Amino acid sequence: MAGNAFDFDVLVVGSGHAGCEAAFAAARLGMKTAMVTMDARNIAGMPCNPSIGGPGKAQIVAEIDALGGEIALATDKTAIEMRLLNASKGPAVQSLRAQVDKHAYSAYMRNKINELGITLVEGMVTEVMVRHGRAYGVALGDGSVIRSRTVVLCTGVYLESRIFIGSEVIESGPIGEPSAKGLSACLADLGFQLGRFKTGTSPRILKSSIDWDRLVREKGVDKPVALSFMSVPKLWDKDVCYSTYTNERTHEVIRENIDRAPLFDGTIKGVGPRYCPSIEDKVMRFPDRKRHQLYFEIESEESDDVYILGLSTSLPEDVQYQMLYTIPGLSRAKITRPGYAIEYDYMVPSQISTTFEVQGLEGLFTAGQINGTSGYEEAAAQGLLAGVNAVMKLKEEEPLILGRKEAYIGVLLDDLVSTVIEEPYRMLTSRAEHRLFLRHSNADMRLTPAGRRVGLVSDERWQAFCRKAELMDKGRTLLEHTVSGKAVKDLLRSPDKRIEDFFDAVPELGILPDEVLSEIEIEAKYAGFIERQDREARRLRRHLDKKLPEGVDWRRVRSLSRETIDKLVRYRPRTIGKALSVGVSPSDALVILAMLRGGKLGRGPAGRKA
Amino acid sequence: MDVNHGLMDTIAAIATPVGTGGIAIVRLSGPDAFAIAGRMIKLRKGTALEEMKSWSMALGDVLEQASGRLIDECIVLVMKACRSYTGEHVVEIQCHGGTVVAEKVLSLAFKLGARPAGPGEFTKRAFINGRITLDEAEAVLDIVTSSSEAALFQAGRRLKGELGAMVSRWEGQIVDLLALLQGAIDFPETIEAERSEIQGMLEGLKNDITAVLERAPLGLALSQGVEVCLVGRPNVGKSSLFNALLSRDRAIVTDVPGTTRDVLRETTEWYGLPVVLLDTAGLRETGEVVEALGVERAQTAATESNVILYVLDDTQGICAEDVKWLDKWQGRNCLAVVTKTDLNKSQVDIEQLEQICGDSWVYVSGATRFGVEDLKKKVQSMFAGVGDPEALAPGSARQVDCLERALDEIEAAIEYLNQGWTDDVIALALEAAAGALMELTGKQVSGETLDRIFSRFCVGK
Ligand SMILES: Nc1nc2c(ncn2[C@@H]2O[C@H](COP(=O)(O)OP(=O)(O)OP(=O)(O)O)[C@@H](O)[C@H]2O)c(=O)[nH]1
Ligand SMILES: [Mg+2]
Repeated sequence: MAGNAFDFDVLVVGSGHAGCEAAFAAARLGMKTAMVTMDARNIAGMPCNPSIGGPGKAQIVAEIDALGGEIALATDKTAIEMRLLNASKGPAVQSLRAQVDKHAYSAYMRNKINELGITLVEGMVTEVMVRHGRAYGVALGDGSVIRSRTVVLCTGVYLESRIFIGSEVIESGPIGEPSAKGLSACLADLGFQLGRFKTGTSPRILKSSIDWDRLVREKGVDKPVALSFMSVPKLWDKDVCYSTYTNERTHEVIRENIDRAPLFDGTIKGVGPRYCPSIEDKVMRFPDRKRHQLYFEIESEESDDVYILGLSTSLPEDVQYQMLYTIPGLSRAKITRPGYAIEYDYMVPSQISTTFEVQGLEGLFTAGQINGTSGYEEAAAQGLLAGVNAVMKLKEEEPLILGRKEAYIGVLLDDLVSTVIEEPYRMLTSRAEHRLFLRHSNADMRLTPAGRRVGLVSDERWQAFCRKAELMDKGRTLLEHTVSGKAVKDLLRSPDKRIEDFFDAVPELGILPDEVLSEIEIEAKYAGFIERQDREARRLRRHLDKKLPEGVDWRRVRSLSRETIDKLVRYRPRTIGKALSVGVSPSDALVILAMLRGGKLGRGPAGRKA
Repeated sequence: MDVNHGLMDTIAAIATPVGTGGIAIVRLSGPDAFAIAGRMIKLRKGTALEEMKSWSMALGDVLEQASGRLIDECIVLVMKACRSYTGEHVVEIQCHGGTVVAEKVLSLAFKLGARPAGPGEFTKRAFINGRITLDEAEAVLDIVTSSSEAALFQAGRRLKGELGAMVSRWEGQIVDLLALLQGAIDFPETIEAERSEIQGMLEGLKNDITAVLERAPLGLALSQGVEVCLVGRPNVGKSSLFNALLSRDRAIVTDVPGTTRDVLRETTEWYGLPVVLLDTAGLRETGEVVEALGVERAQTAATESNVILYVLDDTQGICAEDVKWLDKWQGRNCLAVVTKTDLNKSQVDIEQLEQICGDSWVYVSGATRFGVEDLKKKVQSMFAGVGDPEALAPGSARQVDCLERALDEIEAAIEYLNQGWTDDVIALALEAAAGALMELTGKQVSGETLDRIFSRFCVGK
């Protein structure tokens, strides 16, 4: 093969949320980029609910934005309404959630693909081409080969996917889309471990078939907001979200028909997420609950579909109708797409390294649901990092790796590569031990310099960042002023003091922009708690962070149990803490610690690496 | 590379206390325990020791390797790995003839390849092999080192995991609260956290943990020995009493004031109460450097001890100095001890004494041992008397530390609630509280919380 015979520098497989961010990042960094998709009309689709953000996820969206990604800008441009969740629970956990016009969103992303000069190829990738342990392109279903110096797999839920609606089983991707065949087998042949997950979605119903006046209107946020640091905040209260509850009759219908649910009769083998149970799951597992809340979200201004949040189901369509009819306002509901469960292959994510490159196969990266995650935001974050790191590899520059203390994305990355993922992984604020520090509002301060370093942050964004950073410094200095013997920043530690209370005493404060004021106020108010959270995290990590040497042949360590050895070989934990989290017993962990202390663990003989 | 070596060799030690009883037990633990025991013991029934069933006993003779000479007749108990206390192969050899013979048997085991066990090493191995938790390991170490029955009883209760069960219950309650708070943050549409509910549960937890921590001094004392300190002016008869209380001639006694300089410590046992008895230098102003240092140490020892025995000389009576010291230590488990009563001088004015310390005083004589047993009983009853001596109490500094940290965090959470701090801050304190308790039980906070959220609440879209 001639050395330079590559068609592309970066080839992205998949056009979902991970694929878009990966391709955009690569193109923006000057790479010749291609995106292969099974359906060129389906760009950044939203097969589940038409919303972006929420607790933990909005923070990720802000982080992607701070790094120079697209998701926040696209959402701000195409949102129909935004809501502020956890408004009263503290600045760190406050999160925006946007309900977007899914068609407009898709069109926006499609435009970007054109704008950035990304080559869009329609076709089904069936094989990753590998030579000498290096990926050099992909083969398509028609037998053609596209050569690329790096390949990023962002195949979502399409790998060998099957859809369940009652007893109906369809070899298919999300409704109407084909399932991706062959690629799973290729990955398995290459020696990678695959798993099977399931997820589900709820029925869509026709807008005009709902008696809206019998539902309760959900109000949008009452102050101007935006997800991106580069967007101008807007007011968002539109008439697009309503809610109501299921009732005993609904639950009755479900119980009567439970034997027709593939989730309960054992047809579905994949593991589903606990945080997103189907309605039949909720009714069966919580028999005491008399009702469950449902939200009705209009999916697009151009379409008549309404998404029902809270009613994910794989019961047959006739039962779905019976269920709907029990709910006030839905007595004449018309289903446009029934709810369904979907089962798909994923690649066990401990097989990737911290750059999202697959260990043992150079040039191949994976991002998004193929790594066992769930959610548009989680996928987008991985896409961005995988895209950037594919480029960093080609340029032989330092990769972009984020840590748990820096970003929710760092938490996501660390959990993926070093714990056992037992259900589709969704971000939750509970997962981030530094969550008081990891706020939406300071994502730019945390990450924009890193985005600038790799070259993803535009001059315009960088200048805005520098201006804000400068004003923040100025604000922090102003907070050193004393009022009756005490520094303003210390007075702010009291929960009932606001920064406005000090405008008279320190007039220069009053002229700082709002976003700077609120940020320095939070910093001062929460300083003690953030330090504490740090200390607490360090304390927990004191022993857990002890490094395990690489390249040990665990199979030769006889005092460990077989189970432990299996886990060590499979997951290659890098620290004692990770060893514990992949299920190594505490006693075996102690044995390992003891051996570390005694210097008994060195590198194993060459070539015997697991 | 054989990493087993060095970590899991075979250890041996005498498992019974030195110098007690007619039977001594030599214990071997490790991969070669059977092989080593097999080479030193010939079973009476003629079969090989290695073929004995786990948890079976047999009669045998311990023979010296070289000469084949009989050292002792013994009973062997074998336990196979996994079913033994350490999780390794264990052989226990019960020898007659006390320590001397046991020492011989032990040295034989060393010659055959066993290594002397370090302090607590059997327990450490049990822990490493996953046989017991850290909590239980501590309790076992207490049993091994405890010198009295009361302490054994406390340790036994902890071994059965009662403290562990209680800590787990609290931990469960905190994780429930955390799941409520964190759950409401992560799933705001489906979970609602009522602040009043949280406050109520926190107050309850605070009371429960406080009650157990109040018993900590007792628990610690029972597992480590109650410190009882003899103080008083020079020459009043402290050292004589010290000797009388120990029933042996431990401290130097002379009629020169200022005889005792350093603090002397001896362990003993008074009616089931493990005691560390301290003798100190006589309290007085002095220009002599060594004695002045001694006086300083005496005061420190008294202040840090659990019980102060303030000694008064019945041939001299109460002076202003005595009043000063007695006043200082009132309310601190301080008992006035009037000694040299055998000389019938009755110089101590009992009415004055009762004004200062009520009925917390006794008559004794270091010379005749008069009243010495009553004094011991009185001290013992100070511990048996308060509250319920069988009530559960933490028995190690580590346990106390974890519980205290948990309590601090719970109090902080209550304070944050009252001050109107946001949920994320309250969750922070609760997370730290759960973390402190989980240090006792060895779990991880975030995983537990998530599990709880999903099992308790019906969340999701
Ligand atoms: N008859 C009689 N003599 C006693 C008794 N107790 C102590 N003595 C005598 O009192 C003198 C001092 O006794 P110590 O026990 O050394 O007194 P101390 O308080 O330890 O003295 P310092 O160490 O110097 O502070 C010695 O001569 C003892 O024999 C007692 O109960 N009866
Ligand atoms: Mg003395």
